Amino acid sequence: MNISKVIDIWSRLREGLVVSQEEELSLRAWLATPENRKAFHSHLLLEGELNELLKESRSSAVTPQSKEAESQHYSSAPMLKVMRFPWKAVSSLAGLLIFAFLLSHLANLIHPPLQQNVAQVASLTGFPKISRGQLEWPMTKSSPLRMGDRISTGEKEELELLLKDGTLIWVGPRSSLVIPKDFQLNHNLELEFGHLHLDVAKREQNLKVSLSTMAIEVLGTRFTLLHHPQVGKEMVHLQDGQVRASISNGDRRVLTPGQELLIENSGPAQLQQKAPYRNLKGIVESASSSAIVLIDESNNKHELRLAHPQHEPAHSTVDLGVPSPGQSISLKLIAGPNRIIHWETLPATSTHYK
Amino acid sequence: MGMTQGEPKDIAQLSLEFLQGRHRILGYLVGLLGDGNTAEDILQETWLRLARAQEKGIIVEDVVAWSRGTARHLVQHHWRSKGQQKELVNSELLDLVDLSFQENDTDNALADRRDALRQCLAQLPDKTRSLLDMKYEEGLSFNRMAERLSKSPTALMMKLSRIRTKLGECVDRRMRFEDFSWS
Repeated sequence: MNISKVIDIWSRLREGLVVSQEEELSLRAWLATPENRKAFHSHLLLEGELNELLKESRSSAVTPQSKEAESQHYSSAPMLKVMRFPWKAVSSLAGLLIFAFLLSHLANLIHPPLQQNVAQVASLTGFPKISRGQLEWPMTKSSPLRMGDRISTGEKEELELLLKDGTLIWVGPRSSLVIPKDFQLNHNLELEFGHLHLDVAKREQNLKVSLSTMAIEVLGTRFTLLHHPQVGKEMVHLQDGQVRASISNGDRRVLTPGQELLIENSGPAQLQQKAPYRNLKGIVESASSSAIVLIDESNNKHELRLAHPQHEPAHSTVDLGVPSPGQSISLKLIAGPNRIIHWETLPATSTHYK
Repeated sequence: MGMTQGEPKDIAQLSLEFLQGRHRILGYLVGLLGDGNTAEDILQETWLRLARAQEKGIIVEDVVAWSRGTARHLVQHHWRSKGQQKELVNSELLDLVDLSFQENDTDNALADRRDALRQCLAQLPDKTRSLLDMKYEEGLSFNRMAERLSKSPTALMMKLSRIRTKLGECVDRRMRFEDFSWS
Protein backbone atom coordinates (compact mmCIF):
# COMPACT_ATOMS: atom_id res chain seq x y z
CA MET A 1 0.00 0.00 0.00
CA ASN A 2 1.42 3.43 -0.90
CA ILE A 3 1.25 6.55 1.28
CA SER A 4 -1.48 8.18 -0.82
CA LYS A 5 -3.75 5.18 -0.27
CA VAL A 6 -2.93 5.22 3.44
CA ILE A 7 -3.78 8.91 3.74
CA ASP A 8 -6.93 8.40 1.71
CA ILE A 9 -8.18 5.77 4.19
CA TRP A 10 -7.15 7.90 7.16
CA SER A 11 -8.88 10.99 5.71
CA ARG A 12 -12.12 9.10 5.23
CA LEU A 13 -11.92 7.67 8.75
CA ARG A 14 -11.48 11.03 10.43
CA GLU A 15 -14.20 12.59 8.27
CA GLY A 16 -16.58 9.85 9.41
CA LEU A 17 -17.00 8.49 5.89
CA VAL A 18 -17.32 4.86 4.91
CA VAL A 19 -14.22 2.74 5.33
CA SER A 20 -14.33 -1.01 4.89
CA GLN A 21 -13.07 -3.28 7.64
CA GLU A 22 -10.49 -4.59 5.22
CA GLU A 23 -9.14 -1.08 4.59
CA GLU A 24 -8.99 -0.35 8.29
CA LEU A 25 -7.10 -3.57 8.94
CA SER A 26 -4.62 -2.86 6.16
CA LEU A 27 -4.03 0.64 7.53
CA ARG A 28 -3.38 -0.78 10.98
CA ALA A 29 -0.97 -3.35 9.56
CA TRP A 30 0.78 -0.69 7.51
CA LEU A 31 1.30 1.50 10.60
CA ALA A 32 2.87 -1.38 12.51
CA THR A 33 6.40 -0.57 11.31
CA PRO A 34 8.40 2.46 12.51
CA GLU A 35 9.43 3.41 8.94
CA ASN A 36 5.82 3.61 7.83
CA ARG A 37 4.83 5.54 10.94
CA LYS A 38 7.58 8.03 10.13
CA ALA A 39 6.23 8.54 6.62
CA PHE A 40 2.69 8.85 8.00
CA HIS A 41 3.80 11.38 10.63
CA SER A 42 5.64 13.37 8.00
CA HIS A 43 2.49 13.59 5.89
CA LEU A 44 0.25 14.65 8.79
CA LEU A 45 2.81 17.20 9.93
CA LEU A 46 2.87 18.64 6.43
CA GLU A 47 -0.89 19.06 6.66
CA GLY A 48 -0.50 20.96 9.93
CA GLU A 49 2.18 23.16 8.38
CA LEU A 50 0.00 23.82 5.35
CA ASN A 51 -2.85 24.82 7.62
CA GLU A 52 -0.64 27.27 9.53
CA LEU A 53 1.18 28.67 6.50
CA LEU A 54 -1.93 29.29 4.43
CA LYS A 55 -3.79 30.83 7.36
CA GLU A 56 -0.73 32.95 8.08
CA SER A 57 -0.51 34.19 4.50
CA ARG A 58 -4.20 34.96 4.65
CA SER A 59 -3.97 36.98 7.85
CA SER A 60 -0.88 38.85 6.70
CA ALA A 61 -1.79 39.50 3.13
CA VAL A 62 -5.52 39.71 2.88
CA THR A 63 -8.46 40.90 4.84
CA PRO A 64 -10.88 38.06 4.27
CA GLN A 65 -14.31 38.77 2.96
CA SER A 66 -15.35 35.34 1.81
CA LYS A 67 -15.42 33.38 5.04
CA GLU A 68 -18.98 33.67 6.22
CA ALA A 69 -18.34 33.07 9.90
CA GLU A 70 -15.88 35.95 10.13
CA SER A 71 -17.57 38.37 7.81
CA GLN A 72 -19.17 40.49 10.52
CA HIS A 73 -15.84 41.10 12.20
CA TYR A 74 -14.11 42.01 8.99
CA SER A 75 -16.83 43.98 7.33
CA SER A 76 -15.14 47.32 7.92
CA ALA A 77 -11.67 46.19 6.88
CA PRO A 78 -10.01 46.98 3.54
CA MET A 79 -9.73 44.20 0.99
CA LEU A 80 -6.22 43.42 -0.09
CA LYS A 81 -4.41 40.44 -1.47
CA VAL A 82 -0.74 40.76 -2.24
CA MET A 83 0.34 37.13 -2.28
CA ARG A 84 -1.72 36.21 -5.34
CA PHE A 85 -3.00 38.67 -7.83
CA PRO A 86 -6.83 38.96 -7.80
CA TRP A 87 -7.53 38.76 -11.56
CA LYS A 88 -11.02 37.41 -11.03
CA ALA A 89 -11.90 40.07 -8.51
CA VAL A 90 -10.67 42.80 -10.85
CA SER A 91 -13.32 41.76 -13.33
CA SER A 92 -16.06 43.02 -11.04
CA LEU A 93 -16.73 46.55 -9.82
CA ALA A 94 -15.68 45.56 -6.32
CA GLY A 95 -12.56 44.06 -7.81
CA LEU A 96 -11.74 47.34 -9.58
CA LEU A 97 -12.05 49.17 -6.29
CA ILE A 98 -9.69 46.67 -4.67
CA PHE A 99 -7.31 47.09 -7.57
CA ALA A 100 -7.31 50.90 -7.26
CA PHE A 101 -6.88 50.62 -3.50
CA LEU A 102 -4.05 48.15 -3.91
CA LEU A 103 -2.24 50.36 -6.41
CA SER A 104 -2.56 53.43 -4.23
CA HIS A 105 -0.89 51.62 -1.37
CA LEU A 106 1.53 49.53 -3.35
CA ALA A 107 4.58 51.52 -2.26
CA ASN A 108 3.76 50.80 1.37
CA LEU A 109 3.18 47.15 0.75
CA ILE A 110 6.22 46.23 -1.28
CA HIS A 111 8.82 48.24 0.58
CA PRO A 112 11.27 45.42 1.38
CA PRO A 113 12.09 46.21 5.02
CA LEU A 114 8.39 46.22 5.91
CA GLN A 115 7.84 42.75 4.51
CA GLN A 116 9.87 41.05 7.17
CA ASN A 117 7.84 39.53 9.97
CA VAL A 118 9.32 40.33 13.37
CA ALA A 119 6.62 38.98 15.67
CA GLN A 120 3.52 36.86 15.70
CA VAL A 121 0.27 37.11 17.60
CA ALA A 122 0.34 34.23 20.05
CA SER A 123 -3.08 34.80 21.55
CA LEU A 124 -5.71 37.47 21.66
CA THR A 125 -8.97 38.50 23.23
CA GLY A 126 -11.41 40.56 21.21
CA PHE A 127 -10.34 42.12 17.94
CA PRO A 128 -7.20 44.18 18.42
CA LYS A 129 -6.20 46.09 15.29
CA ILE A 130 -3.09 46.21 13.16
CA SER A 131 -2.38 49.49 11.37
CA ARG A 132 0.03 49.24 8.47
CA GLY A 133 0.53 52.43 6.50
CA GLN A 134 -2.95 53.83 6.05
CA LEU A 135 -4.61 50.46 6.38
CA GLU A 136 -6.13 48.99 9.49
CA TRP A 137 -7.66 45.57 10.04
CA PRO A 138 -8.52 43.20 12.91
CA MET A 139 -5.91 40.72 14.01
CA THR A 140 -6.41 37.00 14.03
CA LYS A 141 -4.55 34.27 15.86
CA SER A 142 -1.09 33.79 14.32
CA SER A 143 -1.17 37.18 12.57
CA PRO A 144 2.42 38.06 11.70
CA LEU A 145 3.62 41.57 12.51
CA ARG A 146 6.08 43.65 10.56
CA MET A 147 8.25 46.63 11.22
CA GLY A 148 6.17 49.77 10.94
CA ASP A 149 3.02 48.15 12.34
CA ARG A 150 0.95 49.75 15.07
CA ILE A 151 -0.97 47.39 17.38
CA SER A 152 -3.93 48.84 19.22
CA THR A 153 -6.34 47.29 21.69
CA GLY A 154 -9.71 48.55 22.84
CA GLU A 155 -11.48 48.08 26.12
CA LYS A 156 -11.44 44.42 27.24
CA GLU A 157 -9.09 43.52 24.38
CA GLU A 158 -5.63 42.15 24.91
CA LEU A 159 -3.03 40.11 23.07
CA GLU A 160 0.26 38.32 23.43
CA LEU A 161 3.02 38.84 20.91
CA LEU A 162 5.85 36.43 20.43
CA LEU A 163 9.00 38.00 19.01
CA LYS A 164 11.28 35.85 16.88
CA ASP A 165 13.76 35.49 19.75
CA GLY A 166 11.09 34.05 22.08
CA THR A 167 10.36 37.32 23.92
CA LEU A 168 6.73 37.36 25.01
CA ILE A 169 4.92 40.69 25.16
CA TRP A 170 1.47 41.04 26.70
CA VAL A 171 -0.37 44.12 25.45
CA GLY A 172 -3.16 45.13 27.79
CA PRO A 173 -6.52 46.75 27.10
CA ARG A 174 -6.66 50.30 25.73
CA SER A 175 -3.04 50.23 24.61
CA SER A 176 -1.11 51.23 21.51
CA LEU A 177 2.28 49.74 20.67
CA VAL A 178 4.40 50.61 17.64
CA ILE A 179 7.06 48.40 16.09
CA PRO A 180 9.17 51.09 14.42
CA LYS A 181 10.43 50.69 10.87
CA ASP A 182 13.98 50.53 12.19
CA PHE A 183 13.18 47.90 14.84
CA GLN A 184 15.74 45.41 13.55
CA LEU A 185 18.41 48.09 13.69
CA ASN A 186 17.61 49.72 17.02
CA HIS A 187 15.55 47.01 18.81
CA ASN A 188 13.26 49.74 20.06
CA LEU A 189 9.49 49.46 20.65
CA GLU A 190 7.23 52.44 21.35
CA LEU A 191 4.42 52.21 23.88
CA GLU A 192 2.25 55.17 22.88
CA PHE A 193 -0.12 54.51 25.73
CA GLY A 194 -1.48 51.64 27.79
CA HIS A 195 -0.05 48.62 29.53
CA LEU A 196 2.69 46.16 28.57
CA HIS A 197 4.19 43.18 30.31
CA LEU A 198 7.40 41.78 28.85
CA ASP A 199 9.14 38.50 29.40
CA VAL A 200 12.35 39.11 27.49
CA ALA A 201 14.43 36.27 26.10
CA LYS A 202 18.22 36.49 26.07
CA ARG A 203 19.21 38.61 23.09
CA GLU A 204 22.38 39.67 21.37
CA GLN A 205 21.25 43.29 21.47
CA ASN A 206 19.23 44.84 24.26
CA LEU A 207 15.54 45.45 23.63
CA LYS A 208 14.31 48.99 24.32
CA VAL A 209 10.83 50.38 24.93
CA SER A 210 10.17 54.12 24.66
CA LEU A 211 7.42 56.02 26.49
CA SER A 212 6.91 59.81 26.43
CA THR A 213 9.69 60.94 28.75
CA MET A 214 11.30 57.64 29.65
CA ALA A 215 13.03 54.90 27.65
CA ILE A 216 13.61 51.46 29.13
CA GLU A 217 16.58 49.37 28.07
CA VAL A 218 16.17 45.74 28.93
CA LEU A 219 19.15 43.92 30.30
CA GLY A 220 17.38 40.50 30.47
CA THR A 221 14.22 40.46 32.49
CA ARG A 222 10.49 40.43 33.23
CA PHE A 223 8.82 43.77 33.75
CA THR A 224 5.59 45.72 33.48
CA LEU A 225 5.08 49.12 31.86
CA LEU A 226 2.22 51.55 32.19
CA HIS A 227 1.85 54.70 30.13
CA HIS A 228 -1.13 57.02 30.51
CA PRO A 229 -0.23 60.24 28.68
CA GLN A 230 -3.72 61.67 29.23
CA VAL A 231 -3.00 61.89 32.96
CA GLY A 232 0.77 62.32 32.54
CA LYS A 233 1.83 59.02 34.15
CA GLU A 234 4.57 56.63 33.17
CA MET A 235 5.60 53.68 35.30
CA VAL A 236 7.94 50.71 35.07
CA HIS A 237 7.82 47.86 37.59
CA LEU A 238 10.61 45.30 37.47
CA GLN A 239 9.96 41.68 38.44
CA ASP A 240 13.16 39.87 37.53
CA GLY A 241 16.53 40.84 36.07
CA GLN A 242 17.56 44.39 35.41
CA VAL A 243 16.41 47.32 33.31
CA ARG A 244 17.94 50.74 32.73
CA ALA A 245 15.58 53.72 32.54
CA SER A 246 16.78 56.76 30.62
CA ILE A 247 14.71 59.85 31.34
CA SER A 248 14.42 62.84 29.02
CA ASN A 249 16.06 65.15 31.59
CA GLY A 250 19.24 63.07 31.26
CA ASP A 251 18.68 61.12 34.47
CA ARG A 252 19.49 57.38 34.30
CA ARG A 253 18.36 54.72 36.78
CA VAL A 254 19.11 51.00 36.90
CA LEU A 255 16.22 49.13 38.50
CA THR A 256 16.51 45.94 40.54
CA PRO A 257 13.66 43.44 41.14
CA GLY A 258 10.74 44.92 43.04
CA GLN A 259 11.63 48.51 42.20
CA GLU A 260 9.11 50.74 40.56
CA LEU A 261 9.88 54.00 38.80
CA LEU A 262 7.08 56.52 38.42
CA ILE A 263 7.02 59.80 36.53
CA GLU A 264 4.03 62.11 36.92
CA ASN A 265 3.41 65.09 34.66
CA SER A 266 7.03 65.08 33.42
CA GLY A 267 8.16 65.71 37.02
CA PRO A 268 11.09 64.04 38.76
CA ALA A 269 11.31 60.25 38.70
CA GLN A 270 10.13 58.63 41.95
CA LEU A 271 11.79 55.31 42.77
CA GLN A 272 9.91 52.99 45.14
CA GLN A 273 10.79 49.57 46.50
CA LYS A 274 7.92 47.06 46.32
CA ALA A 275 7.72 43.29 46.55
CA PRO A 276 8.15 42.00 43.02
CA TYR A 277 5.10 40.83 41.16
CA ARG A 278 5.35 37.13 40.53
CA ASN A 279 2.60 36.20 38.18
CA LEU A 280 0.83 38.46 35.80
CA LYS A 281 -2.62 36.97 35.44
CA GLY A 282 -4.62 39.22 33.22
CA ILE A 283 -7.71 41.29 33.70
CA VAL A 284 -10.06 41.45 36.62
CA GLU A 285 -13.58 42.63 36.06
CA SER A 286 -16.33 43.66 38.43
CA ALA A 287 -19.78 45.00 37.80
CA SER A 288 -18.49 48.54 38.20
CA SER A 289 -14.98 48.59 36.82
CA SER A 290 -12.14 46.63 35.33
CA ALA A 291 -8.45 46.61 36.10
CA ILE A 292 -5.24 44.73 35.57
CA VAL A 293 -4.54 42.12 38.22
CA LEU A 294 -1.18 40.90 39.35
CA ILE A 295 -1.01 37.99 41.71
CA ASP A 296 1.81 38.03 44.19
CA GLU A 297 2.62 34.65 45.68
CA SER A 298 6.01 35.75 47.01
CA ASN A 299 5.01 35.45 50.67
CA ASN A 300 2.71 32.46 50.24
CA LYS A 301 -0.29 34.76 50.09
CA HIS A 302 -2.64 34.95 47.21
CA GLU A 303 -2.57 38.70 47.13
CA LEU A 304 -4.22 40.63 44.36
CA ARG A 305 -2.59 43.88 43.45
CA LEU A 306 -4.51 45.97 41.07
CA ALA A 307 -3.05 48.42 38.69
CA HIS A 308 -6.22 50.26 37.88
CA PRO A 309 -6.03 52.06 34.56
CA GLN A 310 -7.75 55.10 36.03
CA HIS A 311 -6.06 55.11 39.42
CA GLU A 312 -2.45 54.33 38.72
CA PRO A 313 -0.49 53.18 40.62
CA ALA A 314 -3.02 51.94 43.17
CA HIS A 315 -1.51 48.52 43.80
CA SER A 316 -2.41 47.98 47.44
CA THR A 317 -6.03 49.07 47.37
CA VAL A 318 -8.60 47.56 45.13
CA ASP A 319 -10.98 50.01 43.62
CA LEU A 320 -13.98 48.00 42.56
CA GLY A 321 -16.75 50.42 43.30
CA VAL A 322 -17.43 50.93 47.00
CA PRO A 323 -17.86 47.52 48.63
CA SER A 324 -19.23 47.65 52.18
CA PRO A 325 -17.62 45.56 54.98
CA GLY A 326 -18.61 41.94 54.68
CA GLN A 327 -19.80 42.35 51.13
CA SER A 328 -18.41 39.86 48.65
CA ILE A 329 -16.74 40.91 45.47
CA SER A 330 -16.91 38.60 42.49
CA LEU A 331 -13.74 38.62 40.48
CA LYS A 332 -13.32 37.13 37.08
CA LEU A 333 -9.73 36.25 36.33
CA ILE A 334 -8.72 35.84 32.74
CA ALA A 335 -5.42 34.24 31.95
CA GLY A 336 -3.71 32.76 28.99
CA PRO A 337 -4.99 32.83 25.49
CA ASN A 338 -8.45 34.32 25.46
CA ARG A 339 -10.19 32.30 28.10
CA ILE A 340 -11.41 32.61 31.63
CA ILE A 341 -9.63 30.09 33.78
CA HIS A 342 -10.74 30.88 37.26
CA TRP A 343 -13.58 32.44 39.23
CA GLU A 344 -12.99 33.57 42.75
CA THR A 345 -15.04 35.41 45.32
CA LEU A 346 -13.15 37.42 47.90
CA PRO A 347 -14.52 39.10 51.02
CA ALA A 348 -14.43 42.89 50.95
CA THR A 349 -13.00 42.93 54.47
CA SER A 350 -9.97 40.89 53.42
CA THR A 351 -6.58 42.35 54.38
CA HIS A 352 -5.97 43.34 50.82
CA TYR A 353 -9.37 44.82 50.17
CA LYS A 354 -10.28 47.96 52.03
CA MET B 1 1.90 12.55 29.79
CA GLY B 2 5.05 14.52 30.50
CA MET B 3 4.66 14.67 34.30
CA THR B 4 7.54 13.95 36.66
CA GLN B 5 8.68 14.77 40.15
CA GLY B 6 10.24 18.18 40.69
CA GLU B 7 9.42 21.83 41.13
CA PRO B 8 6.28 23.10 39.40
CA LYS B 9 6.93 25.62 36.64
CA ASP B 10 5.30 29.02 36.87
CA ILE B 11 2.59 29.95 34.40
CA ALA B 12 4.92 32.24 32.43
CA GLN B 13 7.38 29.40 31.83
CA LEU B 14 4.59 26.97 30.88
CA SER B 15 3.10 29.57 28.53
CA LEU B 16 6.42 30.07 26.83
CA GLU B 17 6.98 26.35 26.37
CA PHE B 18 3.42 25.92 25.13
CA LEU B 19 3.83 28.72 22.61
CA GLN B 20 7.17 27.38 21.45
CA GLY B 21 5.64 23.91 20.93
CA ARG B 22 2.35 25.28 19.61
CA HIS B 23 2.91 24.29 15.99
CA ARG B 24 3.74 20.70 17.00
CA ILE B 25 0.56 20.36 19.05
CA LEU B 26 -1.47 22.05 16.34
CA GLY B 27 0.11 19.77 13.72
CA TYR B 28 -0.99 16.76 15.74
CA LEU B 29 -4.53 18.14 16.03
CA VAL B 30 -4.83 19.01 12.35
CA GLY B 31 -3.51 15.53 11.53
CA LEU B 32 -6.18 13.93 13.72
CA LEU B 33 -9.07 16.15 12.75
CA GLY B 34 -8.27 17.37 9.23
CA ASP B 35 -10.01 20.62 10.18
CA GLY B 36 -7.87 23.61 11.13
CA ASN B 37 -10.64 25.57 12.83
CA THR B 38 -11.66 22.76 15.20
CA ALA B 39 -7.97 22.09 15.78
CA GLU B 40 -7.45 25.73 16.86
CA ASP B 41 -10.42 25.50 19.24
CA ILE B 42 -9.07 22.34 20.83
CA LEU B 43 -5.62 23.89 21.06
CA GLN B 44 -7.15 26.74 23.08
CA GLU B 45 -8.93 24.27 25.36
CA THR B 46 -5.67 22.37 25.80
CA TRP B 47 -4.00 25.59 26.96
CA LEU B 48 -6.78 26.09 29.50
CA ARG B 49 -6.28 22.59 30.87
CA LEU B 50 -2.57 23.28 31.15
CA ALA B 51 -3.17 26.53 33.05
CA ARG B 52 -5.59 24.73 35.39
CA ALA B 53 -3.08 21.93 35.97
CA GLN B 54 -0.47 24.53 36.91
CA GLU B 55 -2.90 26.17 39.35
CA LYS B 56 -3.50 22.79 40.99
CA GLY B 57 0.26 22.32 41.40
CA ILE B 58 0.50 19.47 38.91
CA ILE B 59 4.07 19.19 37.67
CA VAL B 60 4.30 19.19 33.89
CA GLU B 61 7.81 18.40 32.74
CA ASP B 62 7.31 18.04 28.99
CA VAL B 63 4.66 20.57 28.00
CA VAL B 64 4.30 19.34 24.41
CA ALA B 65 3.87 15.68 25.43
CA TRP B 66 1.40 16.63 28.18
CA SER B 67 -0.54 18.87 25.79
CA ARG B 68 -0.66 16.19 23.11
CA GLY B 69 -2.09 13.69 25.58
CA THR B 70 -4.69 16.21 26.72
CA ALA B 71 -5.46 17.19 23.14
CA ARG B 72 -6.09 13.52 22.31
CA HIS B 73 -8.70 13.27 25.10
CA LEU B 74 -10.35 16.45 23.87
CA VAL B 75 -10.45 15.15 20.29
CA GLN B 76 -12.03 11.89 21.51
CA HIS B 77 -14.58 13.91 23.47
CA HIS B 78 -15.28 16.01 20.36
CA TRP B 79 -15.85 12.91 18.25
CA ARG B 80 -18.10 11.35 20.89
CA SER B 81 -20.17 14.51 21.22
CA LYS B 82 -20.74 14.56 17.46
CA GLY B 83 -21.52 10.86 17.39
CA GLN B 84 -19.04 10.43 14.55
CA GLN B 85 -15.78 8.63 14.00
CA LYS B 86 -16.99 5.82 16.28
CA GLU B 87 -14.42 3.48 14.80
CA LEU B 88 -11.64 5.81 15.84
CA VAL B 89 -12.59 6.95 19.34
CA ASN B 90 -10.96 4.16 21.30
CA SER B 91 -9.16 2.32 18.58
CA GLU B 92 -5.77 0.72 18.32
CA LEU B 93 -5.44 2.76 15.15
CA LEU B 94 -5.51 5.99 17.14
CA ASP B 95 -2.80 4.57 19.40
CA LEU B 96 -0.65 3.92 16.33
CA VAL B 97 -1.20 7.45 15.04
CA ASP B 98 -0.23 8.75 18.49
CA LEU B 99 2.85 6.59 18.43
CA SER B 100 3.89 8.06 15.08
CA PHE B 101 3.92 11.52 16.71
CA GLN B 102 5.69 10.35 19.86
CA GLU B 103 8.42 8.68 17.84
CA ASN B 104 9.01 11.40 15.28
CA ASP B 105 7.86 14.70 16.74
CA THR B 106 10.87 16.98 17.07
CA ASP B 107 11.62 20.57 16.27
CA ASN B 108 14.49 19.63 13.98
CA ALA B 109 14.89 21.90 10.97
CA LEU B 110 11.37 23.22 11.32
CA ALA B 111 12.26 26.67 9.98
CA ASP B 112 14.02 25.11 6.98
CA ARG B 113 11.03 22.88 6.30
CA ARG B 114 8.72 25.89 6.44
CA ASP B 115 10.89 27.79 3.96
CA ALA B 116 10.99 24.77 1.67
CA LEU B 117 7.22 24.39 1.89
CA ARG B 118 6.73 28.08 1.06
CA GLN B 119 8.87 27.65 -2.06
CA CYS B 120 7.03 24.49 -3.07
CA LEU B 121 3.67 26.22 -2.62
CA ALA B 122 4.83 29.09 -4.81
CA GLN B 123 5.50 26.61 -7.63
CA LEU B 124 2.06 25.04 -7.55
CA PRO B 125 -0.21 25.35 -10.57
CA ASP B 126 -3.13 27.74 -9.90
CA LYS B 127 -5.81 25.03 -9.89
CA THR B 128 -3.93 22.95 -7.37
CA ARG B 129 -3.21 25.94 -5.16
CA SER B 130 -6.88 26.97 -5.17
CA LEU B 131 -7.85 23.53 -3.80
CA LEU B 132 -5.38 23.95 -0.95
CA ASP B 133 -6.65 27.48 -0.31
CA MET B 134 -10.22 26.24 -0.06
CA LYS B 135 -9.32 23.54 2.42
CA TYR B 136 -6.72 25.26 4.59
CA GLU B 137 -7.10 28.99 4.03
CA GLU B 138 -10.90 29.14 3.95
CA GLY B 139 -11.30 26.09 6.18
CA LEU B 140 -14.06 24.55 4.05
CA SER B 141 -15.27 21.04 4.73
CA PHE B 142 -14.98 18.46 1.96
CA ASN B 143 -18.75 18.57 1.56
CA ARG B 144 -18.71 22.36 1.00
CA MET B 145 -15.81 22.03 -1.42
CA ALA B 146 -17.68 19.30 -3.25
CA GLU B 147 -20.73 21.55 -3.61
CA ARG B 148 -18.62 24.42 -4.89
CA LEU B 149 -16.67 22.34 -7.39
CA SER B 150 -19.43 19.86 -8.32
CA LYS B 151 -17.25 16.90 -7.43
CA SER B 152 -17.58 14.15 -4.86
CA PRO B 153 -16.04 14.65 -1.40
CA THR B 154 -14.13 11.38 -1.76
CA ALA B 155 -12.58 12.47 -5.07
CA LEU B 156 -11.50 15.76 -3.51
CA MET B 157 -10.07 13.96 -0.50
CA MET B 158 -7.97 11.76 -2.77
CA LYS B 159 -6.89 14.71 -4.87
CA LEU B 160 -5.74 16.65 -1.79
CA SER B 161 -4.00 13.60 -0.44
CA ARG B 162 -2.02 13.30 -3.69
CA ILE B 163 -1.18 17.02 -3.62
CA ARG B 164 0.14 16.74 -0.06
CA THR B 165 2.20 13.70 -0.99
CA LYS B 166 3.74 15.66 -3.88
CA LEU B 167 4.34 18.65 -1.62
CA GLY B 168 6.06 16.36 0.89
CA GLU B 169 8.34 15.06 -1.86
CA CYS B 170 9.05 18.62 -2.98
CA VAL B 171 9.92 19.66 0.59
CA ASP B 172 12.22 16.67 1.05
CA ARG B 173 14.02 17.43 -2.20
CA ARG B 174 14.40 21.11 -1.39
CA MET B 175 15.81 20.16 1.99
CA ARG B 176 18.44 18.19 0.07
CA PHE B 177 18.97 21.21 -2.29
CA GLU B 178 17.58 19.29 -5.26
CA ASP B 179 15.26 20.70 -7.90
CA PHE B 180 11.70 19.50 -8.04
CA SER B 181 9.29 19.51 -10.94
CA TRP B 182 5.51 19.25 -10.64
CA SER B 183 5.16 17.74 -14.06
